[in-house]
Amino acid sequence: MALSIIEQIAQKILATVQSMDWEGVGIGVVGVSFGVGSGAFTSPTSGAVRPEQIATFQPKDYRIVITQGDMERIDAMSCPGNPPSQAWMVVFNIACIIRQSVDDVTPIDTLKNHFTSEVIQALTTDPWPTWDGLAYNSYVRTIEQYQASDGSNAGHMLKLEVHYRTDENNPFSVRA
Amino acid sequence: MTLRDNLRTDVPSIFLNSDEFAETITYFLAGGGRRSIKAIVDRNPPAIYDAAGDVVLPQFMITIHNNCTTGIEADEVNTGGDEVELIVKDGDLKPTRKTVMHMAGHDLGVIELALM
Repeated sequence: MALSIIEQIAQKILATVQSMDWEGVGIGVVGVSFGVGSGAFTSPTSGAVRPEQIATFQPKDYRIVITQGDMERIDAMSCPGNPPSQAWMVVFNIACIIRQSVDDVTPIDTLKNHFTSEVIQALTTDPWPTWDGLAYNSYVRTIEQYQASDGSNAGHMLKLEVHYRTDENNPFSVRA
Repeated sequence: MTLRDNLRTDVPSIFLNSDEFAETITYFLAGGGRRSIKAIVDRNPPAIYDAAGDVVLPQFMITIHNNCTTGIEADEVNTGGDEVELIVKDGDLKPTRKTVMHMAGHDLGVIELALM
């Protein structure tokens, strides 16, 4: 099955986070084992996941959950032609989730700041910002705070904005 | 025997009776170690895991004995890492690991925990 450009971008983002060179030990729910002992990043990630309609992943400390937000047409960046190219902006919600132990007295914001900063570091390395030529630019637009109402978890939600072009009549075909 | 004593002793023999509604689960403590204990498991419809942007996950409520040998004591519960292995759907051959999300309530006899 051919993958649409937006799906290819989503898979690149997931793969980038999953391949972070973690120092801590963690097993991703999709079967990805992270490095042990010598990585550049120190957050003990539990892996990154794109959930199913009814998700099957297990909520854990240092889990990354990637969901897709709205897509918006950008007329100013579209180009005429035959077929014309259509520019799109899509937002990926990257939730960096902390579930702090009741025995840990570290301020929750300290944990959130460190984890989110490392995720940004990982995202903004190659193939950022074009995702191997699939997009023409990407931005970390906002970082939102959240705290579950039952106190079960907290974290930051990164809003990663990706701008890309496809043929107007073919979302499977990338345009420069 | 006081009412307080009765509450503690009646839980394993009456409320958490395997011949009635209780089943065996495995509780994994965040600090290490596991305990095979009796629980009443409510298998609820999926609920919003709001931290991750409207992701929905299957939700469970378990009622267990508030006891350090036949259950888990309330001050042992660590919602930052405790996990439970249970049968998700009747007929499943293998148990599935779930995360203890929060303590919904507890008294002298039982603890009620929400899992996802």
